[in-house]
Amino acid sequence: MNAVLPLLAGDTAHQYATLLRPYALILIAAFVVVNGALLLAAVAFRDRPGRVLRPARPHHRVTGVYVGVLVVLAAMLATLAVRSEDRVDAAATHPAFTITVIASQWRWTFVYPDGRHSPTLVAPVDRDIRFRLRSRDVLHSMYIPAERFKRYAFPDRWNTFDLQFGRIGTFLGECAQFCGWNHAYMRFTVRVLDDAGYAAWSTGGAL
Amino acid sequence: MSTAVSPAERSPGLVLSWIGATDHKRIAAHMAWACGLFLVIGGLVALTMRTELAQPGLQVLSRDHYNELYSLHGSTMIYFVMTPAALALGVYLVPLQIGAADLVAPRLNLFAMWMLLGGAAVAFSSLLTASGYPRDGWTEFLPMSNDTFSPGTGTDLWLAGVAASAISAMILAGTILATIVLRRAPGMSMLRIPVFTWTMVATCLNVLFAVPALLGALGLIFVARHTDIAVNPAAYLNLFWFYGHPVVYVMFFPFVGAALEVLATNARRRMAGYGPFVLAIIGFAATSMAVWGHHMFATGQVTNQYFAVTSIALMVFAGVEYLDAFLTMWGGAIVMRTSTLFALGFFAQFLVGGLTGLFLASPTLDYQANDTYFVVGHFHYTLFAGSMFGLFAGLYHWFPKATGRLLDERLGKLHFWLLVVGTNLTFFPFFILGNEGMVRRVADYPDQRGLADWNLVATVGSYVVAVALLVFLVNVVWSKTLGATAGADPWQGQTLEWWTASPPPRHNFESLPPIRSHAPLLDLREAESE
Repeated sequence: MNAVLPLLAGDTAHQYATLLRPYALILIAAFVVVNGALLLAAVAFRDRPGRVLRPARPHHRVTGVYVGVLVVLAAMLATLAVRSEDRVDAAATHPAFTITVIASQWRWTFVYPDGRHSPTLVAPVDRDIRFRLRSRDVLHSMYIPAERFKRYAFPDRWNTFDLQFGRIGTFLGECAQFCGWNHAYMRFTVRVLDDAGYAAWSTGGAL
Repeated sequence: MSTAVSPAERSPGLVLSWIGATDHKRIAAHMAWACGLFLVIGGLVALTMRTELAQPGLQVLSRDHYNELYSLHGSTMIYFVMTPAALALGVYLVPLQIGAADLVAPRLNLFAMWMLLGGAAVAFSSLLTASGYPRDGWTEFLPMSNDTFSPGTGTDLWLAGVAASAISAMILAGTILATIVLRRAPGMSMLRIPVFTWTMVATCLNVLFAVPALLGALGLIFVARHTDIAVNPAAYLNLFWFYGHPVVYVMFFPFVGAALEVLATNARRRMAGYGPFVLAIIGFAATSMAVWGHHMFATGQVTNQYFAVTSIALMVFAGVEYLDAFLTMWGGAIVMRTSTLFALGFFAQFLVGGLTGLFLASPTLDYQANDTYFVVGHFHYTLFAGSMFGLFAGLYHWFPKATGRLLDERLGKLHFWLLVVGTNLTFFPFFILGNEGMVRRVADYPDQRGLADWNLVATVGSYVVAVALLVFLVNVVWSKTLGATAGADPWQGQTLEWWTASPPPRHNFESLPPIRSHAPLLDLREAESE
């Protein structure tokens, strides 16, 4: 049993990990500073005999500087977020091929360029693969936890995105958007193969 | 000779009072009891769900029953507990804080209370139909909620009940706001209304701008169910979240106000930073109308970068509230009452919800977190670890005003510490579960990556929460009849509600002090001591 989710180290998982680091650092620091300050104030200024009560003053300068710091922090986080989104949602210039994904209650169908249908997502490692995703009934969401990525499937429009799978192996896929009775079990398997393995599979060989 | 009781003083009795009392204090009390009952229902449902989730596999519930129960839990808590509780606090306190005899349009408020109770009854009644409670959460996305995928009358009853609760909320928001604008005591300018009342201004504005979108969304479901017109699912998502995000601040602002008033009173000094706070809360409310798209990052149907920037900007407004809480305490003499502990717990724990919200405001991180337990952890930290703690701070603070009796402090502190332990045991594991890829709204999960262990921790925590809430219930029942007498002003309060008797007379005030700031009673004490 694996204690930690294995990352596929593909494009989306890589972008996720890259953005997570500064976010986690800033937010853990904010948690420690803010709650530390509140705790310090509550303990240091708790009511005790002989405590001299100072009247509250408007702290205009402190407030101004503090708001300035918040604006700078927000601008930093927003810049990081927007730049990361640019990269993670960038369309590949030359995708290797396109897989059409049909979600329906409660299964996944992956359709390959040669027309082959499969309930398993089979993909070659380290290639840009284009996905066209659509639902046949209600909303679904195609989610590959190890890839750190998901997209909704709509019944009335296509969603298109590119993924790269960075490691050979077998991974879990799930439906993330509630879709009725069997939603919890609408899972699929992702098999990432090396080029030779994928070529063998796509020409009809066994896995 | 004068034994005859005047009609104004005659007690109408319990039944008539529920049916016909238009006094804002009675209406608020009745709403509070109703919300308490719905909280118990929603809480028991949550316990049942946590029991099922303690281990992988299906033990207690079928997947169909689980889907019914999670929908019942979410709908009950949002539409029939937290939103009406936030408004009920305003219905009770706003006239008392601004020196008014009642809310404007008292009969309309009574009507709104019955729209809420009737709406809840109609929504719950779907449990009695053959189709049962609808199985699509509090969100009821289309096309899942149309007549093909959700046949039967259950969803229609839910639609009617939730629409009634929405109309109830809009009426109350309108009358509270109108009361603040029209009925302030002489001398109380808009920049002298108490902090809690300012948070109600923001709350009511959010209700009035956002809830009509919910009615529109419910209308789309109705159209999809009863006509041949095809409804665009993405249009529903936009309309629903245009309501769905601002409403989380409806369930947040009043509790910020309550927690700040509690801190200022118990630190025995004026709240620091009134002006910046007013600007921040209005800016918060305004910006909150432009962030709904962050719920839709993974849909591929919105301009993600725009909503990322607006959502991250909210941290500036929230940050000002934290600074004010800090400055209010710094240099004060803080009495560590139960209400102080809950106010501190509100700020400390809401922070976890706020900071994880910044993860969700970033599309790259949200592509992982969306629809997983990370999101579930995030909004339970804001709504339960945050708002619920703020609500308890307010209840310990204002219960004596409403009943004339103090809540017991020893039971209160037991309640607080049990709730802190239970809340964090329950909801912190959700972040880990989500990070490990556990999706929400599932009765079962794969037995791998330690999911089973963290789910068990969360389930144990949920039972601790239940015990803590039981302690509170005992405290309320015991203190209401046997608690120590409060008197008009047990805490050295700063705002007008502490000027009048506890409980206040029918028309609230026999007299009013001069009002020269947002803390008129503190002004009087300071003038005396000089």
